[in-house]
Amino acid sequence: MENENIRSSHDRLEPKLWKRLLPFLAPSKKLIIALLVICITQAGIEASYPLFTKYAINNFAEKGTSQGLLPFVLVYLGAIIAASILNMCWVVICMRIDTGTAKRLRHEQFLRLQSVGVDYFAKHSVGYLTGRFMSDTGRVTEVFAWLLGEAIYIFFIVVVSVIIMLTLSWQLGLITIAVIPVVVFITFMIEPKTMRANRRVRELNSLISGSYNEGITGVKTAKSLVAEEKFTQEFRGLTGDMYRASRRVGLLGSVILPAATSIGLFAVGAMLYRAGILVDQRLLDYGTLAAFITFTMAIIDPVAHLAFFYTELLGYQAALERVVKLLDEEPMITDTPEVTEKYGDMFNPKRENWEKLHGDVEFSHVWFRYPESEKYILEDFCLDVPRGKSVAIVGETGAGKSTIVNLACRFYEPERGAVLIDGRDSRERSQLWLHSGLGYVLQDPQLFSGTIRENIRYGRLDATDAEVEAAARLVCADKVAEHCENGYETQVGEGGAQLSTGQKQLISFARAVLADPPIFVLDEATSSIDTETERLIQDAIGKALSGRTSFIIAHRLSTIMRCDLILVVDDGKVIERGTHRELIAKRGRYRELFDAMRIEEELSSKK
Amino acid sequence: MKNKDTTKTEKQEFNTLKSKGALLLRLYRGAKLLFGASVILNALQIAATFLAPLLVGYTADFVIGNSVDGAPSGIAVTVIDAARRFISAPELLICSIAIGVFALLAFLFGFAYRAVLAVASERFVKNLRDGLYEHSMRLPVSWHNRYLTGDLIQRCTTDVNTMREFARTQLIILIRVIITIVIAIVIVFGINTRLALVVSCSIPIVAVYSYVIGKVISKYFQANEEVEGELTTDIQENLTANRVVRAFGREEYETEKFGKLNEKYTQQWIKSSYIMGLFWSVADLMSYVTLLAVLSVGSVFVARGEMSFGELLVFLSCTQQVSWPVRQLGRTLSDMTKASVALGRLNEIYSGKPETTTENGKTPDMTGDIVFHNVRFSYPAPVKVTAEGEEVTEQPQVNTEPVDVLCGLDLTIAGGSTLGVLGATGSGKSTLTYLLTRMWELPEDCGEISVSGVDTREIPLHYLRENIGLVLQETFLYSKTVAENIAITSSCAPDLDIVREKAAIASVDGDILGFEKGYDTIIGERGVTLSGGQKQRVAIARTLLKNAPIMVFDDSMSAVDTDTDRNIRQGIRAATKKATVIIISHRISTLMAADKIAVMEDGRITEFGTHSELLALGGHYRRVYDIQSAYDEEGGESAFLEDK
Ligand SMILES: Nc1ncnc2c1ncn2[C@@H]1O[C@H](COP(=O)(O)OP(=O)(O)OP(=O)(O)O)[C@@H](O)[C@H]1O
Ligand SMILES: Nc1ncnc2c1ncn2[C@@H]1O[C@H](COP(=O)(O)OP(=O)(O)OP(=O)(O)O)[C@@H](O)[C@H]1O
Ligand SMILES: [Mg+2]
Repeated sequence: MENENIRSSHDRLEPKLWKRLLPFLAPSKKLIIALLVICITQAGIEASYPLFTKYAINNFAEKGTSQGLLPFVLVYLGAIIAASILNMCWVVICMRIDTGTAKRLRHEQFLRLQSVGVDYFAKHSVGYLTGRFMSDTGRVTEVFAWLLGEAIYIFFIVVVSVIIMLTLSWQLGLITIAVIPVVVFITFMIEPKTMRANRRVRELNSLISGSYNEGITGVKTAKSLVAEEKFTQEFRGLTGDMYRASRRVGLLGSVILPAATSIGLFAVGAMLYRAGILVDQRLLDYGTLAAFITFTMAIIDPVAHLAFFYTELLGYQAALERVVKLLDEEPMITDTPEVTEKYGDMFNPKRENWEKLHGDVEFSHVWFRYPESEKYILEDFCLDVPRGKSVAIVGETGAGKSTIVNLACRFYEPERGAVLIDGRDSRERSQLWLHSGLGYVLQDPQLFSGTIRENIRYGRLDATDAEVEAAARLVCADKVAEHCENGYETQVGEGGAQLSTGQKQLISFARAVLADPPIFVLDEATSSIDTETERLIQDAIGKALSGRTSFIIAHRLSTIMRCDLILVVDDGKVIERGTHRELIAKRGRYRELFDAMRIEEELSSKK
Repeated sequence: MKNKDTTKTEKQEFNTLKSKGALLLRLYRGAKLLFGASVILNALQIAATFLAPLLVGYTADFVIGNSVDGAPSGIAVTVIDAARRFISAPELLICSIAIGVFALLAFLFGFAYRAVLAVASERFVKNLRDGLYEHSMRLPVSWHNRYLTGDLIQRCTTDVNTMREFARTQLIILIRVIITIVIAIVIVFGINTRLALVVSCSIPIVAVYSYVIGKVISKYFQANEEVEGELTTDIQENLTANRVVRAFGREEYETEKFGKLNEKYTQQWIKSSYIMGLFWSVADLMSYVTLLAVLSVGSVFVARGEMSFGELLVFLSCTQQVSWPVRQLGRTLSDMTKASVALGRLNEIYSGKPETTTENGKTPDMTGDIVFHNVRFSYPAPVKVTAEGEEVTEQPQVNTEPVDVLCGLDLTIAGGSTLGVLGATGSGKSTLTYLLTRMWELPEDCGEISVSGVDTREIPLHYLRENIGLVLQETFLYSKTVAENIAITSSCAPDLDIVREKAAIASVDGDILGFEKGYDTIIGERGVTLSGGQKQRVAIARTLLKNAPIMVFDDSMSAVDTDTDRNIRQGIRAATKKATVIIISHRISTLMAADKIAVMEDGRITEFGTHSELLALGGHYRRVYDIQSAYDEEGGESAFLEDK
């Protein structure tokens, strides 16, 4: 797993990074303005409370009457109720900003994840990505609504209070305000440390969710290997790291709030000393002093919280960095602007401009190696498959069979040379154009949770029930449905967990057949299907797929004998090609593979 | 009827409450002392921050104001008197210094309490995470079968985080609020009883109100969590099957589907924001009304001369001190409701019944015969567990009886022999291996599976599984290096020689050496950088390292070519001379060398014998053999070929 915990040079708050969020916040512009207005009004009301105190003390307590108390109480009550209503609006608006922004951010990330290359998933585990996707995003947008709203609100309280204080008595006011630079200084001191610690925490957070994912999806494997204990130990190691990293964040985060509060109290002490002298000289009256004390005490906490929020913001930035990294992820395979112009992109295809896909596939001097690998899997590979022909690819494991079809499907692109579809470089058309004409049955079948019917329909979303069932019948997947209690409405479970492996293959086969594509790719599509069923499928499919280009990879020779062309691949090169008969007659590698069965029979009969 | 229902739910509620409480206590293991310390430190901090206003009031009233009516606060006087003993200075200066000293104390206690709390709550979270992982590893496959991975992951991440916030802030805020209120009330009662009564009558109101709203709001939070689970599941599935999405060009469709859920999730939260807002703002309102009451009633008292001006100041400042935390109370309580919902969801994992380990069972020699006797098995109908912990069947069943996967299966495998199993797709072959290893437990009255004459249900689970090397049909590799993957069963660091030896038997050594980083190549979670056959062989090597006396290969060579397949089988036979081997395959060439071959059809063994016996029998086996050996180059297949 890659380590993203690089020591970055910007261990401080990075406004540039936060700016990236602006487009996502933009649609909530009105709400944000409303939020600001509410905050300011609220701060105004809040800051006026001490004035009420002053009024009450000066007019009732000092004068010794309770005259005019009722109107005073009513006005005060009115202010409180107004503040509460605003408060309620504040919550609702904050939530809207928070979840709205999060929604847009998640959506954008989702789009990214749909367009990154398949290779991305080889490097990032699903759990790791899910962790990033859900929790990092949630954290980032939280800031905007709750923290920012509160920070602004507090900020206004502080500003208003300071202004009032200064007008009440500038001398005392200045003493109190002297606190602020000290708090700022302390905040700056701990900033880089906090930033780094937070980054580590976010990284570990993703790793932990990756571990959960691995543990949960691989639970059968863990049990069969009796490795539960070991994995638990390893997991404990990870959470141990997490414990230490978050403890560090916790310790750093413990400094600022109490420090700021105490500094505030110091200021009050100093101010009182000064006030004592002023009162002594009759330069200050009781009422003002009382109001002043109330003010000062009332802003200590808010100032401390402002500083605290600032350090908290660093934690959010660590999450933001990860979100932005995903947003910046460049897809391995992109369509050129001209192609997108003409054919549309993945999400807005311009189907009207699409040419019909006929299914001529040609590899022309293709050189290919997997990204970050030095070894070429294919070197100067040439292959011409005219439309409608079926090609079988055989060879030892790891010979590069799947690689060839991956290239044909444009999951990867050649480093040199080109893959031509219908005579034109596949890069001249959009990915979706090709993929829409593709029926790909994967080596390990992947289904979605849902019913059997829904899974087959994935191949062609507008297919009728009858068409779905016909496709199923064609590949004997109807037997699966019959076997289950609820027929086609049977839930297959997550990833098809309620089905046997062979049954999953049949369903995913039916799914590809339903798509009715001009190009078929069967990558060991029937490896776990019993021979009789496979034979039935072949018979049926031989007819159904006639006229379609198909690539078939298989290790059971009974599966491939009937193809128009058989390629024997070894080490990324085609070493033999021809029909079954030709190759058998040639007595080469194919014959060897083929005889493996017979030789063994001789061995066993000798025994 | 209705009455009975309510008592039932009440009882249930109580039970979940009890188990939630027990879980919380368990999670605080090793952190209780720290947590207690932080509560005490917190109290000290509050005391220090409280004394400061007292001193402030005293200074304003008696030092600066020379007030004559009313008595100065006893504590303040004591403090100032004590301070006077150390320094001789004007009283005003002493007061200022005393305030400064308390400020310092407030900082020290404040820092210490937060630091200790941070440590305590991180330990709490570590306990929670570890416990979840450990427990989910112990839960049986049947349990996992019922839950969606995405949903579980949502619980293990978001819900854990919610609990973290609970431990880190909410609980302490609650305790703090309570302590603050208690201290404030004590001080306030010391000054003026009647006014103090005004302040304290707000407390029961807040409590009742919070309880009622908390109940309402928790329903919303529960729904939010569930939708979040759905959303996580959707993403998780989308990413897992990313190749399918690509290959069918379904990006648009997936995005639309995701978009809908995303929207639903968002709307769900917006819905709950109304009630949250109400909750918070009413709590806010109450705290301010209290302040207003103190101010107006207090002013009247002062006006009537029943209270001194300084006392009112102290009073106000105490109420003010309380008002900030009380204002947070609304928010904290709603957050705690969220935590309670999260805890409930986590508790659902915790309360899952772990596998029966049969710790003190018999440990027979595992080289003997394996006997399946009249084994009947069906997978339970999928159930969904609702939030309340009751289990409901997920869908209306058309047939109520689940289909029998195995129906009265009898099979004897002689110790040390090799059994080949051939059978149609879905005939129950894999199920057989799950039952043997007790991945799925065979119910009591559904026949018996025994090894060396001992019922597997009486054998300790870890002993049983350690002695059966099962290679699962679907390969799952871990995101570690190849060497670590192969050596995953050894507890110590992998010894490369042994790893390579096993890899060589599995015919994968050469492939691995061909990688740039050889055995140190890191493979992805699903082993994506390896080819299908390479994955399978790494899994075989991994199981070989167990050196188990029973080996089960469930279709483990399906992605391997015939040549390699043979090499592997020969290697295995040579390496594990005495082992009992079960090979499940669809390839006759893989099976025919086995001592005995069983043919499975619809959960029964229909044919049993050696290769030649079965060929002679002319049944299913023969038919498969004929199809697979239709290799007569002279045209035995010509009719077949001309089909096209
Ligand atoms: N994403 C990847 N990154 C790096 N190397 C890869 C990747 N995928 C495959 N390889 C390597 O490329 C080689 C060819 O793999 P490929 O999957 O094409 O083999 P294959 O012939 O299909 O084998 P099998 O029959 O076992 O499926 C293997 O050595 C494999 O390790
Ligand atoms: N977890 C499950 N829940 C419900 N039904 C299941 C579950 N797992 C398997 N089944 C059903 O049990 C039957 C037997 O499955 P099993 O996996 O044993 O078949 P198999 O013989 O191994 O098939 P294959 O050759 O395809 O691997 C199938 O009909 C399948 O649908
Ligand atoms: Mg199976």
